[in-house]
Amino acid sequence: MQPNKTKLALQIGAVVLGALCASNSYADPFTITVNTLSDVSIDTVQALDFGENITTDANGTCAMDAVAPANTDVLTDTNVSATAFGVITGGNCIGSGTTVATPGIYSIEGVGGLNVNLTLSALTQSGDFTFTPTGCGVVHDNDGVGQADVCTTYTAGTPLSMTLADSADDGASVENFAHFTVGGTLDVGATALTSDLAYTVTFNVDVVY
Amino acid sequence: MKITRIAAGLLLIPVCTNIWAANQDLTGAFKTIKNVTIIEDTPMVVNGLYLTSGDCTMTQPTLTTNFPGETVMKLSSATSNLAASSDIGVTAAGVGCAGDDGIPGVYEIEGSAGADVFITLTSGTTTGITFAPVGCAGSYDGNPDGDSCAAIPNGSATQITLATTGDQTVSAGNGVPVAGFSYLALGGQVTNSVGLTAATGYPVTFDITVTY
Repeated sequence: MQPNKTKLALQIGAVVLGALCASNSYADPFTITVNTLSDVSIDTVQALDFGENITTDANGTCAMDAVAPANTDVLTDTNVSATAFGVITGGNCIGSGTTVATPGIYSIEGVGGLNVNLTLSALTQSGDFTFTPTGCGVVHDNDGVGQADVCTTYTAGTPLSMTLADSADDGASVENFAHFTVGGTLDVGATALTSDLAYTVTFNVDVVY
Repeated sequence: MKITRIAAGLLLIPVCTNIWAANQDLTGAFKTIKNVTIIEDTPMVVNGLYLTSGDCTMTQPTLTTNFPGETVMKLSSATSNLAASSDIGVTAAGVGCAGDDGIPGVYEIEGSAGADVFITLTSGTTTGITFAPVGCAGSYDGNPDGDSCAAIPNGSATQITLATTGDQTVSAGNGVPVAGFSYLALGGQVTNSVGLTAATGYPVTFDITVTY
C-alpha cells in the first residue's frame, strides 16, 4: 500500500513543533539575595554618675546638665568646647551650680549615613525618687567640607532623629557611629534618702532606624 | 511558584527595615552624702566669774593663740608641728572675771570627705548668763600639710573643707587629719547680767550649726 505522504509530513511536523514548544516554556526557580541592614547597637562610653554629691533631703531635686558637650566628648566635626557639661544644680546637690559630675556618654553603631530615632524613657527606680533623663544626640552632616554636626537636645519620651556618620564626615567623626549624652533630673520624694548610700538610677534607651 | 518566591522576597525588605532596633535599660549612679554630725570632744569651761555683772573673754583660737595644738585638732598646717599655745584657756582678768584659766572647747565635725560645710556659731543665754562663741576650725587642702584653722565668727556661716585621704600624709610629728573630719576650737565671751552664787557652776547652752 502506498504510504500517505501528506499524513506522514503532518506527523513529523507535529513532533518538531512539539519539541520547539517544549523548549519555549522551560521553567526553573531563580533566587534573589536580600541583604538586611546591619543591626544598631548601643555601647557605654562613659557611665552616668552624679557622684557623692546628693543630699538626703526629701522633696528636692538635683539636675545634671548634659546638653552641651565638647566635640571630643561626642565625636563631631564641629570644634566646640563643653558648656556646663556635667554641672549639677538644685537643692539636693552639693555645690549646686559649681560641682561637675559625670554625664553619661553612649555610642550608637549602625549603617553610616542613615537616620535613627533615639528615645529615652524614665523607669521606676528602687527608692522614693525618680530620674528623668535629658541630654542631646548628634546629627552628623556627613559633609567633608562643612562642619555642621550638631548635638540636638532631646526630652524624655520624645524621639530624636539622629544621623549616623558616614565616610564623608570629617573632624572627630567616626564612620557608622553617632553619640548621645545623658544627664537629667533626680526628684526625691516625700521620704528622705538614706545617708552615705550608693544608689542606682535606671533609664531606657530605644534606637530604631 | 516563581512569582510567589519573588513576591515574598520583595516583602521582606520593608518589613525588616522597620524593625531593626536596639532597646536597652541602662544605669547610672549617685551616692548620698554622709549626714554631718557634731560631737563634743572637750567641753568649754570659763572660770572665775565675779558674782556681779560683767564680761569675761577667752581669746578666739587661731593657730598661734589659744590653740589646742595640731595633735588635738588633727591638722597639719606646715612642716613643723604646732603644739598647744602657751595662752591656752586664758581668761584675762578684767571687769567680769578674775583671770583663772579655763578650757577652750573642742568639737568634732564629721561628714563626707572633702566636702565643704558651713559652720555657724550662735550665742546662747541661760539664767542671765550669755555666751557668745567664736573659734577656728580645721580646713583642709586635700594634700599633705598646708591645712588651716579657719576663723569662725559669731553669728555668720563660714565655709570650711573637711579632710580627705590626701591630707593624711603629713610631716613627721604633725597632727594627722582624718578623712571626713574637722575639729572646731572655741573661745568666746561670757556676759553676766545677774547676781551669781559663789563657787557654782552655771551651764550655758549655745548652738553650733553645721550644714553642707
